[in-house]
Amino acid sequence: MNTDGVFFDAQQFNRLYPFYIQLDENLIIESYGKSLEKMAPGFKKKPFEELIRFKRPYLEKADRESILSLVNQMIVIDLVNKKISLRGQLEILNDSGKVLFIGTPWFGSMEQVKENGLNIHDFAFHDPLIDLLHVLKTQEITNTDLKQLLTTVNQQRKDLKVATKQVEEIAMFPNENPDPLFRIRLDGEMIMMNPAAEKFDSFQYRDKTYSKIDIWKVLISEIDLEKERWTFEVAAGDQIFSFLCRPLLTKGYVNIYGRNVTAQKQNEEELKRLSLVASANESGIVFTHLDGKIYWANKGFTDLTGYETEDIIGKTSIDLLKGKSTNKEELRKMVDAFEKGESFNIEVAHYRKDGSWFWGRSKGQAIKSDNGQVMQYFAMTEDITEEKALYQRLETLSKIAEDNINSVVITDQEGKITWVNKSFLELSGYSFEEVAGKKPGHLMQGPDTDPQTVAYLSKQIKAGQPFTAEILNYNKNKKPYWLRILGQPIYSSEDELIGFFALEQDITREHEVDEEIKAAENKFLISLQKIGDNVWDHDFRTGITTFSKSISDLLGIEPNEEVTTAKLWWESVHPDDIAKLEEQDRNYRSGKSDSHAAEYRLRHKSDSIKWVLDRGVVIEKDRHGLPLRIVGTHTDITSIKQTEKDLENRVNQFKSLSENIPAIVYEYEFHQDGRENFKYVSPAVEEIFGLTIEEFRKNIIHYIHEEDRERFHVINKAARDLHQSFVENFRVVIPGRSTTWLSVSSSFSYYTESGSMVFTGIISDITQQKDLEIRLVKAREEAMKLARTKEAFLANMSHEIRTPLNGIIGMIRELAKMELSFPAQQQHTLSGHTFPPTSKARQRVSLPQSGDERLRLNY
Amino acid sequence: MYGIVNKAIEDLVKENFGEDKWEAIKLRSGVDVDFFISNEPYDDDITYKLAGAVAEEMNLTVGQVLHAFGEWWILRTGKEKYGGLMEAGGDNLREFLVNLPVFHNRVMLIYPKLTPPEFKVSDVAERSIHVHYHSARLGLQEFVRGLLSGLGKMYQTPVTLELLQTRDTGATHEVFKVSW
Repeated sequence: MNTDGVFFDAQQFNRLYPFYIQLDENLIIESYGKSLEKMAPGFKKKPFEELIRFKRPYLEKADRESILSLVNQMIVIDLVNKKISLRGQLEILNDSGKVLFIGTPWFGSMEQVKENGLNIHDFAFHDPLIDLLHVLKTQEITNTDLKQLLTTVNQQRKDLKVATKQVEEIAMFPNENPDPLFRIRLDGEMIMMNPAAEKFDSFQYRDKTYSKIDIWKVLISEIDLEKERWTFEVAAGDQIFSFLCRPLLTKGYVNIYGRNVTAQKQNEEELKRLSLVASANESGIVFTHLDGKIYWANKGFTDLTGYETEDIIGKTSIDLLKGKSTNKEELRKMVDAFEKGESFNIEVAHYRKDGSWFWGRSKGQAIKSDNGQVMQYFAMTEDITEEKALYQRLETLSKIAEDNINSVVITDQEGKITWVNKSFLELSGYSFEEVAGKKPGHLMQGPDTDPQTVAYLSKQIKAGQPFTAEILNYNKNKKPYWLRILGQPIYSSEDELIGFFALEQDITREHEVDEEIKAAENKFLISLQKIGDNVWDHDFRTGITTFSKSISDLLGIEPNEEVTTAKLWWESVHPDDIAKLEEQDRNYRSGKSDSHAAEYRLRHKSDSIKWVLDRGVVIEKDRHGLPLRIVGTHTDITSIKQTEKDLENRVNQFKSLSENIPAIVYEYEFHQDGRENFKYVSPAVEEIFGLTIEEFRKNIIHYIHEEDRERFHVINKAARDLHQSFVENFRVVIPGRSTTWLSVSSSFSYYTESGSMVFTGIISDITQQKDLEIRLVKAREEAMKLARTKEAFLANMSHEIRTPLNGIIGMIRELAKMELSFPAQQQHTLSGHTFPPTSKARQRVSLPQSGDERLRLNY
Repeated sequence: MYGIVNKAIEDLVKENFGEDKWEAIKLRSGVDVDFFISNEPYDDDITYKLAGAVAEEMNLTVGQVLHAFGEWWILRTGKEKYGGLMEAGGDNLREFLVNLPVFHNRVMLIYPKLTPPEFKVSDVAERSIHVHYHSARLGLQEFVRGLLSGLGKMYQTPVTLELLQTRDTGATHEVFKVSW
């Protein structure tokens, strides 16, 4: 080896530097290594810059000078159009000016070597690249493993972080839990508790106090470890805790979860109380979920709607109540409020299960949690049908009050006007502004107003009592008028007097009429008194009875200060009649009767009995129809009563007579329509004719003898048409009997209420008389002769005596009238014409001589 | 950039301010990488985010952070991990700076996935040198300044740095004059 230089032949050089590039002085590639040629054939004789780029250092220009500046440092070149970099260095061959690049490709992996068509033999032995690639490969494998490990570790770390976070979060639960949590061993030893539990020192359990450590030893003996869960309650001060024990046998401990249930307990109590109240409430109460579905309803609701509880649960109020007459707009209001969680108050027709309906007022409100969240709804329904009706009535009443023809006044509790109606203003002549706030009395009373009435009204108003009065008022123009005032105190629902309501009726005209009536009444009373009746007047309000005149006539005594007339009267009533009066009094007082007429007895002082006709009539009533005042008369009917009694006696006598005389007494009735018949026939008919009364009535006319029948009809007609009385004899032929002579005497008696004419008469059997009569005719004819002779004699005798007798009698009478002046007496005597005897007298004179009394029956 | 860069930032923070600060910075940056592998490339954005987060967390400017990081890179990362290599770079500062381009070119070959900056030197004098910095990346000028400052410290040769030109004023690359 030469110390001045090292020389290689081309083959050797190629072996040492198989990737060399030699450029001539013009930078044309002169030769290049065999391995480089394998990758990039055809580079020879081509300009350097066409095929090669300098990567490092960066050259702005690839001219000779720039390239020469790169000597003595590492350079990296890229082969154009090939992804191959070579690292190496440049050297200038001093004597020729040629440039030599010595280097080797820079591959990242053996794969890249292969891709470029090279193999391990294309590299010089001193070139460490292949070995480096091997090292790199080993490193890569290690790296890949490490990376995988790292990925795994990273993943685990991530997981761990998540897990830690989860554990932390889970740990937060018990740690942050405000309720006490404990964990105890199965022998009752406490092994863990959360911060909330640490705050407690002791608990009260079954009236004993245990420390928070010891209590578990007591409780563990009571816990049924087989059960999944187990609860008990303890107290800590005034708080109540519920502990839920959860045995975890496999873990060997029991978790105990405490919860403060004080509020819940209180709520439960409250709820219990509320439920009781709600159940007892007459209004319907329902609780609904957020969707409006009812989950609880009280009895009031079922009573109100007629639904059973099972009909209600799960329905909405609208499902239940809606019906034809239900106002849809009101329902909409309810639904809107419901959806907004607001309260509502609606009044609509609520339908019952049976289809009927009532006016219901439904009020509802949301029940909210502490954070304002609507939890449920509470609704109350009440039946306001009556209230509605009342309201409508009130409206009507208001209208009536306003339009009332009577004056209506409403005052405050002191009697000061707060409202009046039109009629009041018209009647009084004032405007509302003039009367408002004033007392009606102060405004309207005048000089002739009765102070007693004013005092009475004032007293009632002060006492808050109703009042009724008639009072003389004066209008704005001072014209008086009469009012009837009906006043009522108005009380609030709290029973506080809030004012008065007064109805005032103009009774001026009525008063005038009253005055007229009173005057007429007085006249009437006077008239009554004049005709002898006692007029009495009883006032139920005062209990006083006044009498128009003294009753001493009737009672024989006078009332005095101790004994009033009325008392005296009552005391004088005959004990057997007092009940009548008392009953009548009761009937009046109860409103059963308005008038009476009673006859009763009074005991006269002299112990004689006086009969009185007591008549009365109610002349004034209160608004319930009960009497306030009665006016009546007492008439002394003692004499009438006596007459009646006499009459009755006579009737009885007559009746007895008619039934006992041997003749038939009868009444015969002529009806207006032409019918006629016996009205009454006395019982003697059976004895006389052997006929029943009925047979007699029916047939007696037919039994009249045919020769007498025409005469009967003539006489009967005269009786009917001319009311003519008659006395006639008829024959009757009663079957099974011989002809009987009847004497019938009849005359008109009275008219009946229907206008019929009634004749009364007597029928007697005169058959024997008739026979006797016939026998007498003969005897009479014989006696007639003698009689006529006697009569002639007596007539003559009579005439002869009469003339002088007349003179004597006349003279004596004249003398009796005179003052014993003789000449005058004489003169009268001489006239001789005073009081001639009547023919009757004459007869009486002659009759005694006719001899037989029986003959008179024929007159 | 290679994981080693991010790792270096991590070490810087942890060393000086503690693990918690690093976690806070990572949280702030939104970077969710627990472990950076040195010779594995990561998105540049991660590095910028970390630097930004450090600045915010430390109440520094990004420039100050990059400067500190540059020193740290030389004094800790380079020395600890590539001690031999660094020492092989030269016996003194001047030698190291002269060799800097080759040194960097070699690094480029070692990290084929790197888009490395390129350094050149010129005006080599007895007590000063011009260092040219070419990079595709923007904003790392202060990092370079930190590197140069760190080198001075490594060789216990206090340096003054002068920025002769910069891309901020329209030049093609930055030129620092390093004097000692």
